[in-house]
Amino acid sequence: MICLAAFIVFAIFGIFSATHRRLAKEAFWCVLRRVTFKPCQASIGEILKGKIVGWLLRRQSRWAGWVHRYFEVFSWIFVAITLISTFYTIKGAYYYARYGTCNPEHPEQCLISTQAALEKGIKNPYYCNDK
Amino acid sequence: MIQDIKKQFPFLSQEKNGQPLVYFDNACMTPCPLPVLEAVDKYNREFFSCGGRSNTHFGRQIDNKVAETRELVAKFIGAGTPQEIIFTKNTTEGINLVARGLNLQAGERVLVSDREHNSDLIVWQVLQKERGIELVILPSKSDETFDLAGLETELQKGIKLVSVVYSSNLDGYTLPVEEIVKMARKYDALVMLDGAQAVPHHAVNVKKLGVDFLAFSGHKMMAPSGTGVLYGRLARLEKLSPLLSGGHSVKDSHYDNYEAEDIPARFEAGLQNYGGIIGLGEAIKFIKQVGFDFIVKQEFELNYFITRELKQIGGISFVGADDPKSRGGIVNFYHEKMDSHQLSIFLDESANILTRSGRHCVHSWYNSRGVKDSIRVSSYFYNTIDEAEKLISALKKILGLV
Ligand SMILES: Cc1ncc(COP(=O)(O)O)c(C=O)c1O
Repeated sequence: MICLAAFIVFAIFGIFSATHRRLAKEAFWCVLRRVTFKPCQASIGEILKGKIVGWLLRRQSRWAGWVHRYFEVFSWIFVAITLISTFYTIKGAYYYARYGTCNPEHPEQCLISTQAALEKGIKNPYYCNDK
Repeated sequence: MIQDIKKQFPFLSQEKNGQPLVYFDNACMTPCPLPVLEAVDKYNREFFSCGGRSNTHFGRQIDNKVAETRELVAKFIGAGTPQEIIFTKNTTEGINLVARGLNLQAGERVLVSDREHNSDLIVWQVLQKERGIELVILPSKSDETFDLAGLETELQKGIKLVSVVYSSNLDGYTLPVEEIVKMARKYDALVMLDGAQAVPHHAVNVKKLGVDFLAFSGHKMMAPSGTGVLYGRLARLEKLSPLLSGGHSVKDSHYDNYEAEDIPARFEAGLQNYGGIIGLGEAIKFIKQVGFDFIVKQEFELNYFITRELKQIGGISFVGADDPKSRGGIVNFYHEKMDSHQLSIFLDESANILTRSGRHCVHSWYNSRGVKDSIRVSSYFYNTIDEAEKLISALKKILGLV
């Protein structure tokens, strides 16, 4: 699961930097399990885990043991949160493109709502269902 | 004394996250001390030129420096003449030069030990496929030491070349090379030694040993990376074909023929790594100043301390011989509950301690023993007991996670 988490993070960073694009590619192959792991090479998962747990160890954090033991669980949680927030981001973007607000039911709660959407929404809170 | 020596290594004085660097990967590469760095820098800044063929005063200066280094290397390993010293880019190239240059025929037998670095295994497997030579792998005894009786049995069946590691990068074990050479002589077999882990760590004398070929790398003995040496007895070199041919390896050429250069130029085709060679000379001077007595003593003390402390941590198994006396500067081990790569990364990230994890290019040994991988701590004379204590304390902290 850490490979998927790494892929998501590096893919986003990869928009801005070539180094992260390379890492994203590595993580992608790791996700697809097509990496031919050479016995002398650590996987990207091991490297990431090493960086995170190593950082905690350096700070004498009691969390180090926890993170080490439950790294897979933390990776799952991270991926789940990322996927859920990605879903809502895409949904919001779609609504914005279509209705001028990311939250058509309550346009006033969407920071980037257009004036027109705000006016229309206040008059009819369910206007997105209007045919 | 060590602190003074250490000051000569800019690489070793680095810090990360406020932690000083502890370098325990010396079996792979060693950093360059100031005299080496300065010599290479001087070459690049002041007399960088075309060596071997240029009549400028810079060209001559390079030729002189290279000749000086050749002499220095020859004396350092006890060669008969500087002619017997061929500069290569690493141990691997030296071994390949001999393997290919001997022009072995189908059915001729080459014997290697069962703890060879890939550098002294794969080329023979390739020749097995290409030319039909026969590769004999001599198993170690049950205590992981070299089987001299087994060697004699194989020699009696006919062996063209015995090619073995002098000191192993797997566990630091030094093979009984004197006996090996003596025995091989009795049966008219040639002997090549992979000296990558021997030449930097203890005195080697090729003439006394009577060995035919010895290959080693400069970057494991404080010289710049991409430097190496192949020693060959003159009589043997005369019968050896070069691995590469081209500029500098011929005296003259016509459209239909050429006249080969003398030895060693014949084996050093193309422009060379002059800066690296000059650096190698300085590295040898540095080793001589430190002295092998000190190097051997320091490595043993470190090995003894680390082994003793590791034995007190549960779940650790050692690779190779148990006795630190037979392991030079190498302690190679694995933990039953923590992956070796993970352990090495944790040491790096949490304590700035550099080790090496994996199969250390001796995959065949790991595959045959069913061991997945291991973590190797390899020291050199500039490592201290204080650093070894840091290593043990970091290991205890990390292994406390499982
Ligand atoms: C025993 C031994 N042989 C050969 C080699 C290969 O050396 P190089 O990569 O410099 O050719 C090594 C490198 O680790 C080694 O330890």
